[in-house]
Amino acid sequence: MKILAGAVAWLSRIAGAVGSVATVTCLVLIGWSVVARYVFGAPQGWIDKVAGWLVVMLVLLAAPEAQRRFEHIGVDIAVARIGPAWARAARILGALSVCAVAAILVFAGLEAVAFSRMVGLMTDIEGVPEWWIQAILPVGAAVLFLVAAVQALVLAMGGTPDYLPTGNEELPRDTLARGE
Amino acid sequence: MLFLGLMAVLIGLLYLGLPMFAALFLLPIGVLLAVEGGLPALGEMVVGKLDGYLLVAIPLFMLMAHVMVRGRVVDDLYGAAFAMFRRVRGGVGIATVLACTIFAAISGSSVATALTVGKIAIPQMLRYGMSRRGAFGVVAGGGTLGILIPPSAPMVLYAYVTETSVGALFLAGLLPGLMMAAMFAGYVMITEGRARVPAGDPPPEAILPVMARAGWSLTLPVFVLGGIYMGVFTATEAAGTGTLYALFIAAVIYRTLTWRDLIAGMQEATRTSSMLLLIIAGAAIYGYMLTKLGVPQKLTAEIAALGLDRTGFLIAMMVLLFLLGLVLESFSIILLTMPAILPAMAVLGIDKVWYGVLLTLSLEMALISPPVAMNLVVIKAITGAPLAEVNRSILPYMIMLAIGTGLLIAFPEIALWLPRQAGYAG
Repeated sequence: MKILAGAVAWLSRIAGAVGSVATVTCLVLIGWSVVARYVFGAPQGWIDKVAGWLVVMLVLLAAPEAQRRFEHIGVDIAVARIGPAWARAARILGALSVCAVAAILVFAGLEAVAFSRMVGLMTDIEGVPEWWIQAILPVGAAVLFLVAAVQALVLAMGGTPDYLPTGNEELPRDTLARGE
Repeated sequence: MLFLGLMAVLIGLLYLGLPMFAALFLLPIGVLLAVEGGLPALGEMVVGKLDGYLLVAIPLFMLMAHVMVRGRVVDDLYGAAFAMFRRVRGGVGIATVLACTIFAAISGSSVATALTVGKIAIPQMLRYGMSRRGAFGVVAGGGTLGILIPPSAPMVLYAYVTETSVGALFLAGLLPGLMMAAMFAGYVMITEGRARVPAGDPPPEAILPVMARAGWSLTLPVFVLGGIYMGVFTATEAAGTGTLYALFIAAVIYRTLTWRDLIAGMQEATRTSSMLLLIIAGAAIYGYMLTKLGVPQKLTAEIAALGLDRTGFLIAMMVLLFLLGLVLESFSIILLTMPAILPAMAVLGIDKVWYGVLLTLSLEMALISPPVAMNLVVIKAITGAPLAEVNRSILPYMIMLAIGTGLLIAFPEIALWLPRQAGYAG
């Protein structure tokens, strides 16, 4: 179990790191598009499109790492107040619900990729087929599924997954993500 | 009724321990399977929803906020505000309001504002003889300005959901934000006049050097808003160039940002954005379900049957938003309510930019409303004071926010004048 959890954690960290690179790339591209327009008088229309794809990438690849850290937004305060046994049950239910969503997204993503390939859908940028972008969905969702499944399994076996909130945290985990 | 019923089920799922994004996917999928017997093309819907140019602004604004919080610019900001108001009646409290106002414009987060300013300001205010209740209240109340004074992430999301101009929304938040800051400062001046410079206090730092240091961080909101106002940048470009400028300030000018801070900030901003944008993807399916069930039309008909006029509708919505704010966070409230009420707003002739500012004010009130008020939790965490004492400190600020909301309902121009000067035609 420990080896499986370690391997999934490694996979999740790698996906998260790629997501972070997507964020940085987005920043560089947007900065460059402003410089290109005002300094070189050469607007770079393609950047708007590519930046959108990078957002798809950062969202889907960083989601497993946010799940591994139990950071996804929920009503944490309720879970923290219901006692350890019920809190564990709520955490298992939460992880299983993520598994269900991730599984649905894996299948939906594969379906979208298959359809796009079948009809030969292309993006607005020449030479880039739509399915290249859509393929990020099943990849990210598959890693998310693995992370949530391992969490549910560890919790069900009475163990403590990494980053499990103790209920004694004084501050909410990520208030920026809550718009607060 | 159907709308409220669906919302109640969703809140129930959250209280069972489901993350928001999972509940937002599973509820509509279950309802659509039951009612329609099938699902839309989920893969295309999710990728299509995330692949939007305006959404690029969200991770970039998040990164800007992380850079400025990690760059510890608040020390100089508070130092400058304190040097300016130190000898004014209630000056130490007014300096706190000013620091909150400026940091709000830099971070776009109410909780980050209360946390970073509060850590420095509360000990100082207590040392100057302000009451504990007064010191806690001004930080919790001043912190709420974070999501009203632009740039503000909830406003970017609202603009995306309602297809409103981000620039107009940012400009619309500015005057109401400054109005609330003035009300808070006036209240501190009246109630905390006994705060005095303690005997033997070292002479304050000269105003000019400390202002010059703080000036750099003051230029960030001017750069972002000015760029949008003058049509130099789109909101997404303003977020990108603003982040690069924030990096320059924190790393080159202040030299407070280390490589470790920067990498951690980028990772956090990415995860933060992922969490939020995944909820947006879920909300797209939720919105699809609402449309399939005809909820917006039913809600509009119910409002018409109740005979609610524009003001009545707005007051009812402000109460509903406040109540939702007690159990949900800001982003979810925007995503859950807006798809359902937009048609009703159009029928009643409610300007979307005006409503966006009203909504933000309601969310601010929720941020300081017990029992689960994030800003109050922050004050408790940094002072160790009992939550009951912190809770009591906030009542005047809730009343002021309610007054501010009432003024904005009565005089929409407080929000709309500035965007109209910039060409907003609403």
